[in-house]
Amino acid sequence: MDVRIKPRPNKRIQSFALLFIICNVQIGIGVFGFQRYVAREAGHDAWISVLLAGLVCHFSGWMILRVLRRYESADLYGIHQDLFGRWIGGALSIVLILYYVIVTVTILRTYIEAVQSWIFPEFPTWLLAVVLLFLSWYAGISGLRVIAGVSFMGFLVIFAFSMLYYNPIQYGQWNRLLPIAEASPYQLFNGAVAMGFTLSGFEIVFFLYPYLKDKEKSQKYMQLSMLLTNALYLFIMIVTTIFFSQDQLLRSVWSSINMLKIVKYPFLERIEVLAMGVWMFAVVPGIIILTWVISRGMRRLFNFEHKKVLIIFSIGVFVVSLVFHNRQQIDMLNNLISKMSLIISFVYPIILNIAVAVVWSWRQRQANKGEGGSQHEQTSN
Amino acid sequence: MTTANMAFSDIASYLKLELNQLLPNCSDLVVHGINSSVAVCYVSGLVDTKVLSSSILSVLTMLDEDEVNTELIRQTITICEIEREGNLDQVALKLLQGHVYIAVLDEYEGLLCNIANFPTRAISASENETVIFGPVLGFNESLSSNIAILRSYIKDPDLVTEPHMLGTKMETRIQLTYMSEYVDQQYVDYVKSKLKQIKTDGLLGNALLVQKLQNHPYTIFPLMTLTERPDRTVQALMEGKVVIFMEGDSHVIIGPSSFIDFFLSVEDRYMSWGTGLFIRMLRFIGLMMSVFLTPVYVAALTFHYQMIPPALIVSLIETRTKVPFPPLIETLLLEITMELLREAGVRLPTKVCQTIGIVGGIVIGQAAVQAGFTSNILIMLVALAALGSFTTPNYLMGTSIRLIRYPMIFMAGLWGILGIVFVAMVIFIHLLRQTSLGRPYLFPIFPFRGKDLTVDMLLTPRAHYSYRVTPTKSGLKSNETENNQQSDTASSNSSSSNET
Repeated sequence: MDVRIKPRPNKRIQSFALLFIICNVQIGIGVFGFQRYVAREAGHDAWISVLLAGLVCHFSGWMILRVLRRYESADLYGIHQDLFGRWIGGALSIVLILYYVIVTVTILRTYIEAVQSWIFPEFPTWLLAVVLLFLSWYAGISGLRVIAGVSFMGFLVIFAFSMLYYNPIQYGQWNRLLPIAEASPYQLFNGAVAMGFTLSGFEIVFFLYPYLKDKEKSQKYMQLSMLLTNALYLFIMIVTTIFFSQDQLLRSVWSSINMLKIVKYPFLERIEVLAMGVWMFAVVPGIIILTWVISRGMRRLFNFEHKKVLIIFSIGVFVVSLVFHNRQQIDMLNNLISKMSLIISFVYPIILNIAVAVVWSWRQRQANKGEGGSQHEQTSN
Repeated sequence: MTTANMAFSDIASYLKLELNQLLPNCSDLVVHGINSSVAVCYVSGLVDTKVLSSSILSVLTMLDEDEVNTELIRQTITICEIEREGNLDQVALKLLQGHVYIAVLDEYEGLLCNIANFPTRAISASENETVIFGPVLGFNESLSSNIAILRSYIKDPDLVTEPHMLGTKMETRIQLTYMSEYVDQQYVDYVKSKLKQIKTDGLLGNALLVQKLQNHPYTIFPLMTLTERPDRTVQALMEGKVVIFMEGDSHVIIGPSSFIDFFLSVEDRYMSWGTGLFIRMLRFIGLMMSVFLTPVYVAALTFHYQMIPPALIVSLIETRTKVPFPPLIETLLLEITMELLREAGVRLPTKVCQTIGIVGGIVIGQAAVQAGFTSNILIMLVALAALGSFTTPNYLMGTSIRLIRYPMIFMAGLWGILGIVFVAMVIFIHLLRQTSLGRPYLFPIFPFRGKDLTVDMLLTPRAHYSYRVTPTKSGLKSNETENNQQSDTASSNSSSSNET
C-alpha cells in the first residue's frame, strides 16, 4: 500500500464540496435529539457548552489538516502505515473501519427509530434499512462526485428546514436563559463532552483530503463548514431552551422534531411528518460517505473491489441493524459510540500530531546521521 | 426512347446495358441519347429538371454530332461543378446522389455534373416549438438550406461545419457545427470519438443519434436538446456548444445540455428581464407541481391525514365520501385517463381533435365525479399537474417528467411521504450520474457554478444580455479556420461533401 495516493483528476472534487459533505456527516441524525443530553449536564446554560464544543471542534479540524498538509496527498490509512508500520498501522485502520461500521449502523438505526416513532409505527425495520442502503449503494457506485452532489442536496434540505425554527421562537420565553453561566465549569465541560458524537464526523476529511483538487483552500472550507454546523446547533439549542421548560426538555427524546409540531400553514400543518420524510435527504449522504470511507479502507488495506465491498457491507450493516430492537438498545448504542467518537474525533488528531512530530524528527535525525537514513528520507518526503 | 437504336455503335444503348448491370431494377434511371455519340443519364426526381433542360440538354443538342468531345462540352455547358469520371461503379454511386452523367462515344471518361435537387419542403414556421414572440422560422429537412439559415445569422469564419457520414447503407450525412473560438475542444473530441464508434446501417433522425451519443442508454431523460429553431441553435453556438445537423431531419442536436436547459425557452430572453425571470420561475413551479402534486395527495389522504388543516380536510373528506376506491387507485385511474386523452388528441386528425376536448371536459370532468368515481379536488389536482407538465418547452423532457410521476404515485400509496422522498432521491441520484457529452447533467446546480446559474435563470438584469461564453484555452484556432474554409465550400453545395 502506498502512503500517498494520486487519484485521477476526473475523480477529484473541489474543496468547496467539503462545505456540504462535512455539514452532512456532522448534522445527519444527531440534530433530532442532542439537546437532552447537553441540558442534562449543563441545564439552561447548555448553549455555552455547545459553543465550547464548537470551538474545540474548530481546533480539532485545524489539527487534522495540519497532519494532512505534512503528507500532501495521503489519507489516514496511509498515514497509519507510515507512522506505525504495517502491522500496528493496519490494526489501527481496522479499528477505524469497525468504528465507522458501527457509526453507520447507529445513524441508520436511529433514523429508522425516528421514522417509526413519528410516522409509521408499524413500518418494518428491515424494509426501511433496505431502502436506505439501496440509496447509499446507488450513489456509492458512482463515485465521489455523485456523493458530493447528494450531500449538496442534503445540505440544502438541512438549512431549509432550520428556517422553520423561526416559528418556535415566537412562543419562546427568553428569560429561561437567565441567569447566564449559572452552571459550574465542570458542568459546562460535561455538557460539551455530551456534544461529542453530535459534532463528530468532521474527521472524514482524513480520507477525503487526497481527493481534493485545490488543497490549499481545504482549511477555509472545512472551518466554514464547521462554523455553519456549530451555528446551527447553537441556534437550535437556544431555541429549544427558550421553548421548553427544563423538566420538559429532559423528558423529550426528539426535542427538535417536537418543536416543529407547532408550525402551521393554511394548507399544511404537522410539518414534522414532512420533515421526518424529507430528512432522508440529509441522512443518506452521511451513510453514503461513511460507506465510501469504509470501502476505501478495504481497498487500501486488502485491495478489495469497491463495488463488491459496497454490497457486502450493505448486507452486513443490514443484518447488524436488525439486532437492535428497542429504545434502550439504541440508546446504549448511542452512548457507546459517543465515547468512541470523542476519542477519534477530538483526542486522536492531537495524538497523531504528536506522533507525526516525533516520527518525522526522528527520521530527520536518522537521515542526518548518514547514508543509512537516506532510504527513510525517500519514503517520508 | 432508346429502344429504337439497338446498334452497339450507339453510346446510349451501351450505357444503358452497363448501368442496368450496376443498378439492376432501378426503374427511375433515365438514359437519354442526344444523338448517336452523346448520351445523358440521371436518376429522375433527384436532379433539377429546369437546370437539366436549360443548361445541359439545350447546349448538347446544339453541338455538332461529329466534332463533339468532353472538353468541348465542359467548356460550353453552364454548370460549375463538373468532374471527369471513367469508372462506371463510381458513376452509378454519383447518379444516386443526383449527378448527371454525360458520355461521349469513343471516350473513356465522361462528365459528372452535380445538379442535385432532392425533394424537400419549403422553409416554414417551426410547429413543435412555438413562440408567441420572436422569429418563427424553423429548420426544414434539407441540410444545405439549414446551414444556409445558420450562416444568415452567423457570418463569422469561426463557424466550423464539419461533414461526417453515418451508416453503411443509408449514408446519412451529418454536419458537426461549432464556433471554433468559443467551443470547449473536449466536447468536439467527444462527439467525434462517439461518431467513430457508431456501427449502423443508417440513422433515420437526430433523435436516434442522440441515443447513440449518450453514455447511459437506459435513462429516461433526454441528455441532449433537439430543436427546430435557428435562434435557439445560434444561441447555443454562441454559448460554445456543439450542434449536429442531419440531412433529412429538421431537428438539430445541441450538446452539452443540462437538466435546466430543457426548461428554458429562447423566448424568455426576448422579453424584458422581469417577465423573462417570472416565466422561467413559473415553469419551475409547473415542474414541481406536475411531479409532486398528485403523489402528495395520495400520501396525505392515505397516511398523513394529520398534515391537512381541519378546514381543508372537511371539504376533502366531503368530496371523497362517495368514492369507493383508495386514493392510490383513484389517482392512478384519473392520471391514466388524462394520458389517454392526451395520446388520443395527438393521434387523431386535427379536425376530430375538438371532440377530445369535449370528451375530456364533460365526460371525464363532470360525469366521473357524479358517478362517484373520483373526487372533485383530485380532478383539479390532476388537471394542474397536467398543465404543469405541458409548460415544459421541450417535448421529450415533458414526456419524461410525466413518466416519473407514476412511480412516485405508486410509492406514495405504499409508503406515504417516505415513498415520495425515496423516489425523488433515486431520480436525483440518477440525474447526478448522467453526463451530457462528458459534462455533468445537473451542471450549474451541481457542480455548483453561481455565475452560470444566474445566467441560466436570468436572475439579474446583467445576465439577460450575456451568453455564457468561455474563450478556448488552447491555440486551436488557426488549425480550425483552415478546416473551416474547406468545409465552407463543402456545405455550399449539398452533395460535394463526399469529396472532402
